[in-house]
Amino acid sequence: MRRKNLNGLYSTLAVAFFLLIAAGSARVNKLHCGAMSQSSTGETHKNGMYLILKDGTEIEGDRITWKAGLLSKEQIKIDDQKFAIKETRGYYSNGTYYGRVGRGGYAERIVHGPRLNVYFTQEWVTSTSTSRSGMMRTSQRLVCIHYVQRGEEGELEAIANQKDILKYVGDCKIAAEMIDKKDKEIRRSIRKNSMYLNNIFIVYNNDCRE
Amino acid sequence: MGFNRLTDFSLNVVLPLLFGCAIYFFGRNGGLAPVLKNHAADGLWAYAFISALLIIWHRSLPLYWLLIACFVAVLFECLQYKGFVEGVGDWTDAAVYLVFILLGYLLNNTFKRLYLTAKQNKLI
Repeated sequence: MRRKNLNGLYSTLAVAFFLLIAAGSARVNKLHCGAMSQSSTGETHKNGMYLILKDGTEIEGDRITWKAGLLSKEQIKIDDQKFAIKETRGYYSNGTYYGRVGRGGYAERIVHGPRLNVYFTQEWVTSTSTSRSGMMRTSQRLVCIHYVQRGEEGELEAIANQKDILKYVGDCKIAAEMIDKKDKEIRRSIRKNSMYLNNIFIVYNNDCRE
Repeated sequence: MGFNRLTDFSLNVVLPLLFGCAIYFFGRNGGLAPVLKNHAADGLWAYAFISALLIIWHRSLPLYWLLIACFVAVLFECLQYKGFVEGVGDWTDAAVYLVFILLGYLLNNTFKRLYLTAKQNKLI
């Protein structure tokens, strides 16, 4: 019995230890919803609804809907035609392009260029807390995730901080200098110009020229 | 040198964690396939986690501790997804955790046999 208790204690300590490792290696998402301007740049496609398949085929239609989730098929529908989300690259909806993220969703493109594209998703997250008196309080906050894509066919990869951005633009001196600054300086630059982070990618796409 | 707890711990806990760290740090600078960069480190963490629990219990882990391990791994990802814990939550990560926890559990008998063989060799 004593051995069982000791094993239980060691197991609990092991759980705590491994959770610490997990928390320590977790990527903190420093790119909040206001970090990048959500007005898109570089889009040249005409208005209307177009679904783009993986092989580049464009399917025009009047209405696009899609659904994905734990218990539903990950599917996108353009008029009466259905496709698995993983078989698509993205879709245009009235001049805005949405690129596929993983197997089950789409993100809005905000920077479009020959080398890198930048996207974002946003969703309201509800959290409930209970006060000492037993009152339940619900609060909502907007959570944004930004993605970068290499070229038109690359996978969308989430970015969460300066290091992630530098990984993509590091070979362009001007862009690298724009992001390789202290947190405080970058926040100040964003406050002065909401397009500051977007411009890093625009410079990169413009053959590393301002 | 026979198979003992130290060997087991080094092979199934320390080594996977070290590999995971290496993938995590080198992957940040590019040069690794996305699937390795994004999920292998998580899988190795989960494998090391379940292995640590199995070794503590001399490779006879009560079922409820296996369930606790699975629950903790998925809960962590849920908390990240909901924003209660720092990080970017991803359901694929949760699936990877479960697969590698299961892998660790399935390999349990193999390592248990290694203990018995080492024990028998010691007695002979």
